[in-house]
Amino acid sequence: MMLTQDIIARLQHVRFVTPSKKRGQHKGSHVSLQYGSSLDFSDFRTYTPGDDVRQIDWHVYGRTQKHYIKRFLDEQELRIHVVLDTSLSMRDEAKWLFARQLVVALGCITLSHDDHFSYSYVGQGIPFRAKGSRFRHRLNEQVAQVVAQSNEPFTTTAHKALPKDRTVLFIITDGLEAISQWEQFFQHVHRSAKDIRLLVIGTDDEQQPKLRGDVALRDIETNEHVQVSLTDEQARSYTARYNAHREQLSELCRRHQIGSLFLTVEQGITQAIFQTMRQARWVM
Amino acid sequence: MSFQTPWMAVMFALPAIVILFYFFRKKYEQHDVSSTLLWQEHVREVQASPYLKHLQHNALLYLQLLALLLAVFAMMQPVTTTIGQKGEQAMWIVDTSATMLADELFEQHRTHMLEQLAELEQPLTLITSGKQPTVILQQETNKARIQETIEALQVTYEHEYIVDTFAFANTFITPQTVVHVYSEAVDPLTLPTTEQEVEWHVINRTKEVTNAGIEQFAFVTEQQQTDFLLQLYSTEEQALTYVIRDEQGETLYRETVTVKANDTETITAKIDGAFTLLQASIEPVDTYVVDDTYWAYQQQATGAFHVDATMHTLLHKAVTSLQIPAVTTQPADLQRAQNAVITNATALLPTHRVFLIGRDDATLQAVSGAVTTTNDRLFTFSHLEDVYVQAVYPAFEGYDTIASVGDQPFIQRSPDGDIVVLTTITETDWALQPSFPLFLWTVLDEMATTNQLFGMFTPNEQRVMATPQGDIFSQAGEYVMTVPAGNQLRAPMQPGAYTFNDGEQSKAMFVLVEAQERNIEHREHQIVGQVTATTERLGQSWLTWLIFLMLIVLVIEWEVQRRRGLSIT
Repeated sequence: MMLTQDIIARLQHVRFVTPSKKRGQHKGSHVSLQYGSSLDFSDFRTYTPGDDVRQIDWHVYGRTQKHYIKRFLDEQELRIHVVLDTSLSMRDEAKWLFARQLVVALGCITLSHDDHFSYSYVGQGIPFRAKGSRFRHRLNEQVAQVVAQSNEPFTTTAHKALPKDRTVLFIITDGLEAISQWEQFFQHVHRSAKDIRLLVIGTDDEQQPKLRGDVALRDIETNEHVQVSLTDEQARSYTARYNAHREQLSELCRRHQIGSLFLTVEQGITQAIFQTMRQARWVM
Repeated sequence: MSFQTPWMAVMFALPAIVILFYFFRKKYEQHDVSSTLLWQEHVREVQASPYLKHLQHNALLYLQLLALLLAVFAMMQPVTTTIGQKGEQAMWIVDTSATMLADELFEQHRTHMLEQLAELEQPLTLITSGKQPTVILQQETNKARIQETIEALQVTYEHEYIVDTFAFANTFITPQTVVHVYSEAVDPLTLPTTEQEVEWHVINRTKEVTNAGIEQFAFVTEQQQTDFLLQLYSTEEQALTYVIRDEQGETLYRETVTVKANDTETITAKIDGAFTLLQASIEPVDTYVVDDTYWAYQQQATGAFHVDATMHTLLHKAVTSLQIPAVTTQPADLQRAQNAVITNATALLPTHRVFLIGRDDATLQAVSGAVTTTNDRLFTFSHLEDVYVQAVYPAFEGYDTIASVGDQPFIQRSPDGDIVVLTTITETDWALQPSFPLFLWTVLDEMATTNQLFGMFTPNEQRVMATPQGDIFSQAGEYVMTVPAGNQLRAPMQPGAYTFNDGEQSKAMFVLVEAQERNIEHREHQIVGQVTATTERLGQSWLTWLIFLMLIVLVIEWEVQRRRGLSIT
């Protein structure tokens, strides 16, 4: 079990905010600006030159001699997909737990609103796709079983796990790969969805190493060793480097019009969703 | 094969340390991180300085070069040389006269010597002063022994006779000798001149010392009155009290006089009574005690001996040849003689001091046999074994027989001290032998001296005396030394009053310092002469330290190799 019942219950009240047009074939419960066949009246908006003339409500014009556009609720579903980084670097316990919690959380938000949710990771294809809130429990259980054991780096193999035809694509990763590799990966993502969001999760320790003295650091993924004699000053310079890497990553995302959000594992899933994501206007 | 410095095996500790290093090498703590991507970049940047990098890269090369350079340097066997002490031989001449006691100069000199000893590198010859200078140490290098000797040095009270000492020391001087003279006031002009390079360091008493003492004391006894003369001196103006005592120690005269600075005060006075021995002393005693007491004696003037005119001419001749004052006296005048008499008139025995040769009141008796003598002091120099005696007179009753012919007494000694030879010159061939004049001299010498006084000596004085074996005791009654019979007597060192006891009687003897020792002089230190040779001291050899350094460099090399592998590039 990744998430507790009360968190899942709270997640019901959260909805995604996405500017991209829906792609779903089926009805959902989202606001649509597209002139559609729904009869639910949403609101009026004053006409500005450039809007579609066919959307002008003439009844209102007859009454007020002003041009207004009518907007309707269009009930079309969202298709959310999450790609999970299962490379060995994600193996850190806290980090892996958090990552999976995120997957379940995103899934629960999606499924609560009757939208389509699926997730995938390298080597497994798409092990889950569902629509409807009754599948939340199964998602919770299934994700708990996932193990991070991919020997390849994420950026080189993840494109195989990318789906097609989605509204929003979430990528959950720790971002600890070369910027150039990320650049290459970002070439592939755009065919999956228009709204792509990168969720970079990191631990406090990664950002501000607490180790001191002579250490030999082993990369879990590549098994490479680096021997460092850590002092406070060196730790500070490492933190600066880490932050710079993050900066570079967000800059890269901006250039590729990919949303990015940096989450700390220590903040916990509730804060991550209800605070950080809200502040970033990813959810509301 | 053997090793010159086997203790260097201690250096095997170095490879042992290296092995230990291997086991305790820097172990890195292993930690797993998600990614070392950033860590690698970090590590690369930290080591970016180009010179350091170059050095690091070629560390092995530089270390090996350094080790080789050290080895080359070591092969040249560098050694620090330091200049050692001057001279090739050291000689110290120590003045042990009485004046060295004033102001503790002797102790100061001793301290100075011990200090010098600490830095001494050459062999040392140590000579003490005196009429007969002594070599205490010759070319001695053992410092412990030198120290013992210096600490055992003592003042011998004898006048230093420094010129004689220098002449004696001169025989031991070799070229490049540095001589230290520890004395009181040696005039550099008295130093012997040599052609060799010799350096003289004269260490004198530089400070003036205040002193007061008796310079002269003498007395004359006539009838029952004694006139004495006393000379006092003092270096500063002060009032001195002097006391005249007799031989028993009873005070006879006391007076206080003021003596001006650097002046002698002569005092003459009379004392009632007739004395043979008087002691003068100053009270209170000052720091230099030696010159505060003086003894004077008056020998009962024996004058000339009276030799009976009827005695054999051979006897007359013998007495004359001995240069003993003798007067030929007619037998009738002998009665009135005051002094000792040489005669054959037995009647004079009780009243006079008589050396009886033959008897006029008895007849000769033939005798045969060898002459045997007892261990009497008269026979110290004369041995009578070969004397042939034909006839002897009968012996006296109650007299000590000190020589016999066969079983008949030959020579006797009376309880009063008279000596009796119980034969005439004609009845023996003794006069033809050398023991005869010697015997005569011994007898007359004995008769001439008073009973009370053994003699007045200077410290350590060696005098030929016909002494029997006896012991010398100090005034306090402590045993000082034994004098073997007939030998040269060596007077005790310390000035003072002594008694000489030969088993039968004890006589007084006195040891007084010489007149020169009553003056305390001072003079500046002097250095005369120059010595150019210096002992070269081979200082520390750097060789071992260099090799040690090299080995350390090799250890560092090993550590570097361990970390970065064997390649030089």
